[in-house]
Amino acid sequence: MMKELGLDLEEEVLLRVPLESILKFKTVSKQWRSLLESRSFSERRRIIIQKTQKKMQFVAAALLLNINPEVVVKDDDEEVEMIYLDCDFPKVQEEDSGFSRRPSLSCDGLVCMPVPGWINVLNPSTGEFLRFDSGRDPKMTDVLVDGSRRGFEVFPGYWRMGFGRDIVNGSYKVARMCFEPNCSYCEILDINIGVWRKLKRKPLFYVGERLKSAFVNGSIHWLEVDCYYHTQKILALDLHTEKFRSVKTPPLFCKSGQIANLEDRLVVAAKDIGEPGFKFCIWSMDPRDETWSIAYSFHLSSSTRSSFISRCSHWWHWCMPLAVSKRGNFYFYDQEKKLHKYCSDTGLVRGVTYGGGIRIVAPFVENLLPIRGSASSGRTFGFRNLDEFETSSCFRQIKSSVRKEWLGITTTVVAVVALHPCSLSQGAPAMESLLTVAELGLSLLLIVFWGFISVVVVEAWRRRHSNVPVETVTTLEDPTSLKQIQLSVERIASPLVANVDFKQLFYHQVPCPHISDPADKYLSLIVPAFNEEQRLPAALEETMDYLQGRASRDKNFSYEVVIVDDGSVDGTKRVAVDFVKKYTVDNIRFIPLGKNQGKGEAIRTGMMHSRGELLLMLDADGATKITDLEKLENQIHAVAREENSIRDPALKNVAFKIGDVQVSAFGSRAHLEEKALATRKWYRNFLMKGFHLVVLLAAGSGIRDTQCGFKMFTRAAARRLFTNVHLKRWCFDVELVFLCKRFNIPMLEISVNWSEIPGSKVSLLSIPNMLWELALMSAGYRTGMWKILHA
Amino acid sequence: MSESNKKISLISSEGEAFEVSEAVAREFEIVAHMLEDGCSGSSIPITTVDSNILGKVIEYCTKHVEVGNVEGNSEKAEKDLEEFDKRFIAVEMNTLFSLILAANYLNVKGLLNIGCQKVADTIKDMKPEEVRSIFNIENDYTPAEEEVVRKENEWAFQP
Repeated sequence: MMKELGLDLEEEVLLRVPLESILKFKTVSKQWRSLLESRSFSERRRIIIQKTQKKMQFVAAALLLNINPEVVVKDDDEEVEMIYLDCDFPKVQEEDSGFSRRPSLSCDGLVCMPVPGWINVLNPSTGEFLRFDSGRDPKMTDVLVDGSRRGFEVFPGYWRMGFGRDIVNGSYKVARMCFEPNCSYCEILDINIGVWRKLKRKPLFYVGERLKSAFVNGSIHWLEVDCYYHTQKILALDLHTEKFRSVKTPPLFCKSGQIANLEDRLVVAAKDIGEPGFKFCIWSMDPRDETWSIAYSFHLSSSTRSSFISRCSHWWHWCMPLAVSKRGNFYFYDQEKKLHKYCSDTGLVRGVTYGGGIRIVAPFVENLLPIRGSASSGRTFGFRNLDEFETSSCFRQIKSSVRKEWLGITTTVVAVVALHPCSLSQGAPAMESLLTVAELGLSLLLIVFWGFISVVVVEAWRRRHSNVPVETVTTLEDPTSLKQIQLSVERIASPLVANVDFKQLFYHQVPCPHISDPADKYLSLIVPAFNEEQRLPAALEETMDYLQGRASRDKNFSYEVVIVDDGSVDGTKRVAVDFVKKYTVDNIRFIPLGKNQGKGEAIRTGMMHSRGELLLMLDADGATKITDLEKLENQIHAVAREENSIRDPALKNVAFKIGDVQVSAFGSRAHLEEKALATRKWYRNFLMKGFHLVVLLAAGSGIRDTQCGFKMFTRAAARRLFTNVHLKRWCFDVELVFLCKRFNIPMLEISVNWSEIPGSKVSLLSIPNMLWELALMSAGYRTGMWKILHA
Repeated sequence: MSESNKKISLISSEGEAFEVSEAVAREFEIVAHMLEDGCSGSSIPITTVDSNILGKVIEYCTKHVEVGNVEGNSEKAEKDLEEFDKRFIAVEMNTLFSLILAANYLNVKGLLNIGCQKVADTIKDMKPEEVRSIFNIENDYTPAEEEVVRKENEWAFQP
């Protein structure tokens, strides 16, 4: 029998596993989860980590496209480990020269990142990510007019931000102060509550906008340095009592002073201007009696200065203290967020990270406690989900840093670099310039080509599950009966209802069938409609006449029409609903897609929810004569009989269900091609030929006219095909041909009558879309990213 | 040195007596406390630990006391001890659990530490299901709840 350790000893074990395993083991049991998220566990773990951890860890948010994390960290003693978060700040800010001055606020390992419009709080250890609306911004007085302002209106500009923890009740708070000539105030966001609250008390004095804040011992501290009058002040805000107070400053004037938390002490890093070159002093405050002493002071020798100082003017050099290693080396970052260390034994300063692009640097402290913010904010886990957010920063952890699409870009860069030395080694200077032009052209071509390929691959990858419908239609409204029914929450939340008017919520609902259910009609007509208010009624009347006539002649003939509204903005819905009322919901059904998703998607949805043995898709404009469906039908019957007898000769004469054999029939206008070629403009013919060629390449030969909107499938064939269709717009027809070939479903191409009805939705702009979809399809299936389901 | 020559016998759950020097017995904090409390009888019953495991724990303590007594050459000795610990702890899971339980009961800090570390190293790459079976933990999540928790943390263990 296996021995049991009991929870106490299990805790002992869990204290010693790595962070990733802790996150993983939360799924073991509820008991383990509450243990792993408990404060006592967190505290015990912190002690163990302090004892055993060899490397200091920093978390850095950076645009990883600019950085190769493996080469930028150069730490000889290997004391430091960088944990990179890939962040994707919006382009506008990218161009902002003062971008690196944005606040980087951290407390207990949590990183708070204000971006325009949002306050983001991230726990890099657990991946928990909260975002809060930053609310209304204050009205700004014109910076240029107001001479007292320094003009450093870098985001967050007017806000002086701070982040810390209420040490009494443990909740994290973001504080921001605004100084307007007539009104200065402070607001606090408690992360557990999620709403900004204005403090009654006003800040004691003005604090400049460029300076950062430091959270030490329950209070946020801001430093105000006035270079003109050589005065300095420190403002502190206690996050529990929410009172402001003034704190003593270092005895000497702190040029370019930066306030920080170093080893839980308030420090000010100041530049000594009296010295030639650069000398920095790190003042540290004793919290008991608020006395200041110099903890570190160092010169920047000329050799190190070159890496330390680059594009900024002398005036704005500063250093921001970060941490002290076990060996006593002092780590700080500069105005470009580059990490440096001061080795206390040699007295030298060395760069640790190179290259720009780092936005935020903070000490990494493992913090396992859940933040559990208020529900009003967005709360997600991990770093990848954040890609979805429209604006502001996105984070991904470095482990998954090199995304696939970058490979292409990297290759191009390598290609360009490789080309360059080649051209230089060629002799003559005249040749050289020629070569340079050729090389430039070639590399541009390469870039475009690789860019396109990688975009296609990425998009194909993204769409690999697009054949799985997002929402499933479970019921359909029957507008003929006005029976009031109880609404369930799901119904209201369903996207299908979202844009249907409210009255319809009370309509009686009929269960919505699925393609995998057995058929209970003979024929289903699927009509995709997008803004077809004008053309739909005529076509539909004609169709209904034919169907009703046939149904009255043939007792075995049953039919249904499924109109799929592809997010129309005109009266299509009204027209369709009128038809449903007129012919009853059993004969005509209406499925709204909500937003425009493309013809392919409309047809797929219709197919998935139809009831017929035979499923016919036809265009809403009535370009094809409806009686032509008999042609397709007869051919399908003939082939199905043959197929069935081949499959099982014994059943040759036994009746079979047509819906269970896989056959597809494609209406074709190929016989009209010659006539069309003669009458149409040359460029349309050129485009058509070109398209045929591309289709041939993408899907293979077999069908001459893939684009005809008149196609019939047996139920079994439709089930297989439409559970696999990925493309949503014009080219889904091509995908159907491709899939038919893949599944060995017999394809019949049958000529149909065709009359051009004005108002075609195919425009010149559809051509790039078609090419794009074809490229996607090739990439998706050829790389195996699009799995084929055998439904 | 006279004190460390004093012998104490520890009696396992099966009633087997193990004779050890007092210095070794004092490595068991529980015994050390008993001795300090004046419980100076020469035999101490340790009823929750069987002979096999008790023997092992005594072996561990003896080694550590021996190395602790040797002066000088500490670097080599420390390395030796590390090697010894490594070999000592390389046992199958069930024995390891017994050792941890015994170390916890007898309050042998060093052994408890290396035992737990060994278990931690073994399980760190395992799937939650495997961990459940090792620790005999019942999964009290509903599949939906488990999925939620797994989703929240899955970014951490995806390559």
